[in-house]
Amino acid sequence: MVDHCPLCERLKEPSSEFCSFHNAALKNLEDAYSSWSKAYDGKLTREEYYEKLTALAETGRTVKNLIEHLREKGEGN
Amino acid sequence: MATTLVVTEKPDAALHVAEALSIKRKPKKVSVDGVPFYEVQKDEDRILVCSALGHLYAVAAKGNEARSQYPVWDFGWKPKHLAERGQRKQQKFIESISKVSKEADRFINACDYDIEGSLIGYTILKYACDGADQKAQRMKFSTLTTKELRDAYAKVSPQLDFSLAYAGMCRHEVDWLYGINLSRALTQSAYKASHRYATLSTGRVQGPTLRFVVEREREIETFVPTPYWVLKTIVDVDGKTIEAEYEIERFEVKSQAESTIKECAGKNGLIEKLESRTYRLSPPTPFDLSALQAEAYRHFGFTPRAALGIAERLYLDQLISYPRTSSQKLPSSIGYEEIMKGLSQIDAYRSVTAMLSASGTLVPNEGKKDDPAHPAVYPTGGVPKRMLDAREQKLFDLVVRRFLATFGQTATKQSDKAVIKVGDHSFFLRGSRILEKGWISLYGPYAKFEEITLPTLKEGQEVSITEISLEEKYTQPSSRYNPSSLLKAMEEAEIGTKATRADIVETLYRRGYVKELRMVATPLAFRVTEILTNYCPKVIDVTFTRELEGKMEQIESGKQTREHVVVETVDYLKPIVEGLKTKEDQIGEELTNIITEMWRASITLSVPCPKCGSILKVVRNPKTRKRFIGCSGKWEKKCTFGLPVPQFGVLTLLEKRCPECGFQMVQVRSKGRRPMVSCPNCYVNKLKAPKPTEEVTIKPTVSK
Ligand SMILES: [Zn+2]
Repeated sequence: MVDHCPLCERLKEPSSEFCSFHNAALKNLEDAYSSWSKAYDGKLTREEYYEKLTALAETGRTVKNLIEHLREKGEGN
Repeated sequence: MATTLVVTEKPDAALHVAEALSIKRKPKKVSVDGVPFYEVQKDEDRILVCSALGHLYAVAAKGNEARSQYPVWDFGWKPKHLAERGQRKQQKFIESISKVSKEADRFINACDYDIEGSLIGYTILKYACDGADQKAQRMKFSTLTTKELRDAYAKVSPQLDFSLAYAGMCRHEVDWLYGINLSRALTQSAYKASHRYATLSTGRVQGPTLRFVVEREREIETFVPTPYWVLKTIVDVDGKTIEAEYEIERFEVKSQAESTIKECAGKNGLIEKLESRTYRLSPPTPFDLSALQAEAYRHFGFTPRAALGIAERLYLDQLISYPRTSSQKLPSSIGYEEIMKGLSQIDAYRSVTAMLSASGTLVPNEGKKDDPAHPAVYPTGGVPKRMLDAREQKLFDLVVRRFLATFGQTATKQSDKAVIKVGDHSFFLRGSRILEKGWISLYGPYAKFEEITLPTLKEGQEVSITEISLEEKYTQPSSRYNPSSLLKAMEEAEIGTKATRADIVETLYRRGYVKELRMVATPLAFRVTEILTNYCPKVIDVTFTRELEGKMEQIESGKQTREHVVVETVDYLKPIVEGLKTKEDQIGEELTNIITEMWRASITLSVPCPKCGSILKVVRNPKTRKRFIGCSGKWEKKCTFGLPVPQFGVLTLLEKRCPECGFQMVQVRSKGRRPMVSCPNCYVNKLKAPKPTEEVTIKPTVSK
């Protein structure tokens, strides 16, 4: 059984939820959170962070798709 | 009476060579089975000047296996019409040259002096002229001016430049081995899985180049911006408002920026310090091809390939020197004074050439790069004999002004800076102006400098902050490549040659791997690059390609043999291609979806049905097998909308809309014909029109 990334047709990376492409987006998303949080004196929630990124033209399309996925998953919990 | 056969690369070049060699009367144009030759009587001898049409011979597989067959390692050089489709004209040229060569007892290769030109001449002399390569001579020149061509004929080299020709052969052979095997592996794998035929290509230079674009796209797609803030400050100096910069260019914490504003808003400041610095701006270096292409893109938006094409036309018109050069040198032997004299006959350059000639000795500001075969690109001093079109005119002007500018004086620029203190905070006012124009006035519109003049300022002078606000900004992803910057990236990675890079960039568009001027990698580009990265990373790694470039250069200088490099390439590629063959199913599986998507996109129109709004598709009538545009609302909405399309040739849906009715236009490509672009909707309306007085308007696209 071939295991595909839930967000695209690529194969999942070993012991990971996503493919290399979406993992790269995830890493960037995680890494940038600390800069964003610091920029707003630690007062930015994750949800506000996602909201801001989704509204920006600079944010990569893959990142936006990933955010959507993470939000849906979050709501499901 | 002896007969000499001179082989040139293009018909225009043949005419110039013939004209230069016939001193007393005009050369006679003769036709041999429809192919033009020029006959020149020189003293007791007869000279026949013929031309090629670029390459007349090409690398091809030895046997007659199917075009899908791979791996292929056995190859040879074949007449182009036997190696590729649609090369009838080339066949006629080979036959006529071969016929005429029987009358000749002396042979000269007068194709452009570089790898390709040496190879074109060599293959014609070897294969079409019964091994005449062994006794042939070589004319070497950088412009097609009469003076230089006569000189080149008088000083003709006693034998061909074999090392250059062999380096060219090697490049074609190696590229063919790469292209044929890897492209067939991809195409066959896709066909096996999807039963749909799609041409998927990659190549020795194309693969790594596409990877640049894909990697950039990946960077953009996964980019997460971060915020920062800048202060926008306006100060009042003696009633004049000027924008000032704050000492910290960007704040990464919003609250810090806000407190700075609080501390400065409405306050007065003092000019603490005034600084001025003078810079020297050296004249530009003469144009090598890539600098010419970059400037042509910057000022006119010409793609590198378009710029090269135009430059070649100007070269064939005897207006500029050979453009495929890496040199930034202008040796005095090209005759600066003579060129200036020639250019002074053109109104636009009269005053500047006079100014330069009067300024004393002419010394160009040469760059470091050199080329053993040619100097930098320069104007010959010739005056256009025909009306140049707008694009040719622009490029010609650029070449002339660049040439003139390289002889100009150093320019000087002054930068001014005022430091304003508001409490502990510092703000800056900046200005700049050109003190001495020097070469800038020679380069004309192509030297752009923004001048900002500051008012007269004094240290200790009081200024007031009239406006200070916060601007929220975000970090930006790297910008996409454009044809010019991608060419530069290839050059920096040392892959491809000056002659081939522009074509490779264009191929990426043709193969559907990139779209738009700011090159966006398509899903197909991602998929192919990812497959190559996963299954044979070596072939898209720049390292091997770069090393190979080095070895091919060594063939030019005689330090390496063509055979050795080809054998090494086969040894390198064999296990890779054989490995791909065993993984066809897996690779095909990975390509299936994208091929299906591409196929779906290729038959789905982007305009909706004008009757019911459903999706329109190109479909076939199950009985007659004729293709037409049908409406997908046929069953649900009982829509009967349909339009005929041309039945023969490859049909492509274009993004272009019909200027008359707005419907989507289509293109049909048939073997050996120009592609035809038409609007299916207007076609039908014209058929319905009461008096069809003229033929249906199917405009041919201009293809170059
Ligand atoms: Zn994915």
